[in-house]
Amino acid sequence: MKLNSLMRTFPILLAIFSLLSAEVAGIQEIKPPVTEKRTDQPMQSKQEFRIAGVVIDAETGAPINGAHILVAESGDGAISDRDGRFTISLKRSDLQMGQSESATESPESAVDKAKTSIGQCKPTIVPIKTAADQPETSFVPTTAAVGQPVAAVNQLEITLVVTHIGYQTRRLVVDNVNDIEQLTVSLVPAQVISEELIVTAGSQGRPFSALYSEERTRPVEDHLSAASGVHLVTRTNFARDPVVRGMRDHRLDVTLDGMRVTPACVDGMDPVTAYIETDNLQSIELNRGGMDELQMNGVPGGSVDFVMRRPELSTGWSGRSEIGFHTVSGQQVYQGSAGYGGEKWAVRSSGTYRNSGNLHAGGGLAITGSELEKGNLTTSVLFQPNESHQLTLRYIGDFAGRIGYPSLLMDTRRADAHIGGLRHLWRVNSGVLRKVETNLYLNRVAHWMDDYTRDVASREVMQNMYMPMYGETLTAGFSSEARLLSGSHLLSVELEAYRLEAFGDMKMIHIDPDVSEMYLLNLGDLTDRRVSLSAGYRYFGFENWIIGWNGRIEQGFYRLRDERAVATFRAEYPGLVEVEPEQTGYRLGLELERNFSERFAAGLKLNEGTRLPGHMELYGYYVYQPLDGFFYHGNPGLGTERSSQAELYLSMEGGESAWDGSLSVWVNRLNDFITGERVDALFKRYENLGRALLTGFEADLRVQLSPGWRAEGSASWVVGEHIELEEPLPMIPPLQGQMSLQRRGERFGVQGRLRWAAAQNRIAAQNSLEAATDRYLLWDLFVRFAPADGVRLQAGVENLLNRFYTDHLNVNSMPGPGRNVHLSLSYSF
Amino acid sequence: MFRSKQHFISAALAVFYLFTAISCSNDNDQNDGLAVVPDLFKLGELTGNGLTVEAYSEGPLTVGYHRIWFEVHRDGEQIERPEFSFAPMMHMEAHSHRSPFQSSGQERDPVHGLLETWAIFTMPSGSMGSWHLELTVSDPERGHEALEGDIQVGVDDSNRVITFLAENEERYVLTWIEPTEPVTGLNDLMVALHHRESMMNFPPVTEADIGFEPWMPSMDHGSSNNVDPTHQGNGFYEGAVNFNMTGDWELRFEIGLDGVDLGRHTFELEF
Ligand SMILES: [Cu+2]
Repeated sequence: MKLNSLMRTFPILLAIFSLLSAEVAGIQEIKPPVTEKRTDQPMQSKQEFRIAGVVIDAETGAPINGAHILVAESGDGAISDRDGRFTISLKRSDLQMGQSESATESPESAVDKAKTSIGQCKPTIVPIKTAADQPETSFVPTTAAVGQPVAAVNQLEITLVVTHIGYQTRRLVVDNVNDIEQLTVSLVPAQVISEELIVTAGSQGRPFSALYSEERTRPVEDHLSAASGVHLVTRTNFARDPVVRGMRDHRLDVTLDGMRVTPACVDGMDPVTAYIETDNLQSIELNRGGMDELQMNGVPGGSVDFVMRRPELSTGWSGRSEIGFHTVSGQQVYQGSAGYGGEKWAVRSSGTYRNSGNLHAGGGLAITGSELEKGNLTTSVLFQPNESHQLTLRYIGDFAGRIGYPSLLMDTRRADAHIGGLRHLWRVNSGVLRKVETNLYLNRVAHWMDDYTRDVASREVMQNMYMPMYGETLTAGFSSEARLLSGSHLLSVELEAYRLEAFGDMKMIHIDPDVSEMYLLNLGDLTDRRVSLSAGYRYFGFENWIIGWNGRIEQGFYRLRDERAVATFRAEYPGLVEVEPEQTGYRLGLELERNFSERFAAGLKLNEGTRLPGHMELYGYYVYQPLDGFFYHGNPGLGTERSSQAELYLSMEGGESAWDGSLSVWVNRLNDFITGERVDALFKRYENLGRALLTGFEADLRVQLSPGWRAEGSASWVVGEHIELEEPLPMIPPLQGQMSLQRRGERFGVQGRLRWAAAQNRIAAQNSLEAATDRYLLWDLFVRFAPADGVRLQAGVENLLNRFYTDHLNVNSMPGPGRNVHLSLSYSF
Repeated sequence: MFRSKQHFISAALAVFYLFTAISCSNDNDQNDGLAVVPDLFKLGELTGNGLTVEAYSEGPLTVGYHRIWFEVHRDGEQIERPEFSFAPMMHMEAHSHRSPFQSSGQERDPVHGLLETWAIFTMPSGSMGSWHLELTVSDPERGHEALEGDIQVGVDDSNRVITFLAENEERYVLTWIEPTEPVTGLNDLMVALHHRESMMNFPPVTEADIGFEPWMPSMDHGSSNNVDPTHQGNGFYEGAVNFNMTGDWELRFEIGLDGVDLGRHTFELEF
């Protein structure tokens, strides 16, 4: 971080210095070069002129904040602001001096010069290519006299070097220099892959930092929990289920590298986090409320996308191994990967194995039945025949043995997931069309669970009954997104289609052998097919405003293929017109951002739309919900759920300051809210039931205290109420947050962290079984030590004081882990 | 899967009962040129005065309601409109009794082209006694002497009939007729209610209020959207039952008649 701020300040200082030196040199009057156009209007000629423009990501079109723009000839420079904008004021005198100098130099030395100046900002940047190698296509001066024939004698040429962390450096030769108001510079992401698992939220792409972000033996949820506005539903010591702004399940898109993976357990044991490991991932991209991105989600919660780690080109052989141990559960994790990166293709394979005993709560109480065992294998192959095309084939196989769920009635006996996909990235880099990314994928998840090891005679629900259950899903999908960029207009269009097949059934075997076995279908072999078209638009052309809109239309086609299930729903809903409905959803959004300065911006996002009911809501049958103790029946007659959201945010970028942070305040109103309506003492049915209102905020603040030390804090709060039922929504997290102080050095890092949550007394007392939870405050300490090249030792103590606590989103008030001493050792080559 | 298994068992049982029925009825090996009616189970036949009466049912008889078909022929030639009456009779050691039934079957059922009637067998045959289908048949066109006699039939036990003494000191017969082959989801529900006025007389009860609920005792829950049976004629009541899973079910009936509580009565069912 120290490096970063130095990097940011250096060119500014350089620019100031060079301006000053120009003044000192007293160069006053040099005749400006005259173009044909300008000879007609000689009054416009001036000796000072400016170059203004915007730096964007070549693939996403998103503005890049903090990019360095350097004029190689003069050393003038600027840093792009949060909208990617920059302005450089130049004096012809400086340039002509530079011109005369550089005219005598070879092109290589000019590059060397640029490299040197950048090198001081950031030594790790990828090598700069010569100007000749760079396509000129991103150079779009719109107000300058483009294409005008210029007399050679008047020609003034400058070279802009644009750099940013994580991007390939760009060198642009700009001839015929005059005032340029709109220069669009697109940077191509570098093939430099971070060791860290980066969690981002929103277009700012600000990473949330945890010292353990390089640890691959940690479950992915540990990384996810570092982001504010994300909470996790916990059912055991495994596979915690993300909740964003109080929205989960069918109200949140959780995807793996853009691929939809459908959980197979009807009881929620296997959210997508059950089938991935940290080593599979490169980053986690959050889209809170579905308003941060150009692509719009069909759900009000937004999305969590786990971006998979890609093999790296041109790296030769590489490998990494890590072992980890957690005392709180006796969990051992073994992880290893190997890869080869050639010039045009690369491959990477990795495996992770976990084996854990019982988790212990604070104070030492063992949470019996929380052990687990599982393995995960990943292979990706990347093929890049040229700069424009990249194909990535990836496969994840995840195989779980017994996983105990002390908070549920049952345990996982076995779970298998096979997830495969092919991604094609086409970087067009010319014309209006910038990028086309296409995904084709197929995955199958199978899940077996039972309660054979439980004492069924002494429980209240389904007493004296064993209930082995099986679930299976098959999801196949296609998506293709095109990004178009023209001047300040950025447009994204995406077509998505996917098809889900799901089946689930259960037996009920009474402990009295005279009672005959019972059988029912939880999911009667259904298909849920969706087609959607979405588009997003942003306009960057106004001085201090960004405006944009999003739109999406989606069609859902549902089939219930087992006739027993059809008969069941016909019997359950005698007035039902259509068991296999077709439904249409839409969503529209508006975005407005105002920049008050380089650092401060405020924005407003609005969206409104409908969500199609999910397959569990339509066709789940007899599904036990531990949250309220009811068995839920799906309802094929459900209509769409409408939501209207608004978000107001303030953002403070770091720039040269040590402070940055953001604050988002949001409100989400849901009409025709899909929830369970009580039928009798045992059953609920999904219905479009009135209105719900959620509101809350997320805030975070970072301070660079000194070059080595950094302090961070974040907090989030959600409040939810069902208006007609006149009580709080269940499973809403209380006010909570984190504070951390860390020092990251090359060899040694240390972080102290404080996690806290307020008490949650707003509970759905009538319509659920949830209990109020107390406030808690937990101390964590992490250290990282690199004794030798490639060797890394990480250690930590979480819940240092061994407090007994319960997070509000822990199902059935399962206590959180007690003191956990954690150790991991990794070696990479 | 279980459905085909059940079919297999029924088929095996049918074969078994066919042998039993043949051995205890006084038929003469069905060699008079008439083909056995397809899909029906032959209960037996009675011959005399030049007439032959054949009796059929859908399957081996069990305690409960059964449709019964007759065919009358002379020298292998079908008699289109025979004069015909029928009554089931249970002969026990000390006494005999009838059960609810429909006496005459003048209408030919369109599917089989046979004379159709029905009877409710209220108890199984065996050591307690034996069931006989008492018949009186004549050919009105020829005016010959009527054929009188009976066909003895075997009736296996089942739980489809409840004979009970109500608070009003009267006896009633409650028969569960449908569903015969229950499926997951909504099923037709049919019961019959008869008043046992005497050992020989069982008039239908047409005014009863029947409340109904299916129940799964092992799970301690019922299901929704069941329809209480209402009277459709002749003591038969129709409603609907919803089975939301397979397993052990109870069909619970609560019967009232002119303000008199006839009590709660439960049939057990497994599928
Ligand atoms: Cu499960």
